[in-house]
Amino acid sequence: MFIRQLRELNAVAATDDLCMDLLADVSALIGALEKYGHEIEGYQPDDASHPIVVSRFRLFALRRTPPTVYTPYAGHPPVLRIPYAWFDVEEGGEVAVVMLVGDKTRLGNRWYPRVVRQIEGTMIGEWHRRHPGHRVQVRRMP
Amino acid sequence: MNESSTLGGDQNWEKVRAIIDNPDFGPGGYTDEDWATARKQLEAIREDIRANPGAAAVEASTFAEISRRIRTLRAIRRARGLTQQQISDQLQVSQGEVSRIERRGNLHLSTLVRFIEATGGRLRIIAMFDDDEVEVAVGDLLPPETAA
Repeated sequence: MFIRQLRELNAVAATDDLCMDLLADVSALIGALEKYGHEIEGYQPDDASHPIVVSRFRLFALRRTPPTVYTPYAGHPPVLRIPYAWFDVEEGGEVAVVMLVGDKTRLGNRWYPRVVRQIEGTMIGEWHRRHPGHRVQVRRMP
Repeated sequence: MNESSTLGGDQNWEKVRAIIDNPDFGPGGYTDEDWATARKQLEAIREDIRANPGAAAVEASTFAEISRRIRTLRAIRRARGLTQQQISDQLQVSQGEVSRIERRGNLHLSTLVRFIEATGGRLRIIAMFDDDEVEVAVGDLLPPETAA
């Protein structure tokens, strides 16, 4: 889902600089997850990633928020969230699997339950089917 | 960047909304290619971003800002392969307090000194000038009961 969305955004970005900037923000967030892993996760408003507390799995969401005192780097709307899940890997270690990019501007925190249902009910199962050596991590209470 | 601007024209914004606001969870809608293919596609998209100087600058500044905001003490602890519990044992405080120290700004100097020592390091403070560098004597800044 995530890569398909990025491909579609990239097609719009070919003729829209602001969409290209949005894509650049998303790429930077993914790059930070790739480079820093858990280091970017936390409960503070300026953490680049936060736990999705309504999930029973270890889900987090990268946050791309319009400029606030905490996110001066964000140039313009929308309020994006990019959920990802951590999976244990059979050979050892863990991987973060990015699920999708979504806009919670209109729904606020009511955006999460539907997305979490889809991730828990469908996407994680699909990932397990395609990657039998991966096992999703269950959320630990802080 | 005009902070009050919205994405592109109305037409483009509707296209973007359709992509990010109403993902297609229908049959097959959630499936992606395998990991390797997805990574290749991500890299191809990044090449497009970096071919656009403005977008490349946005990507770099966002990444730099995220890097700057990573909790430094947490990163130091993890780089040393230590858990919060190990630090809490050293400092004789709760694991929750270690978590709070890692998240808090404007720490007491004595707390910072003790935290760094618990990770096996020693805190040095260097005052930087255009033409000079001066090491500040950390011990002189600590309360008498905590100074080494």
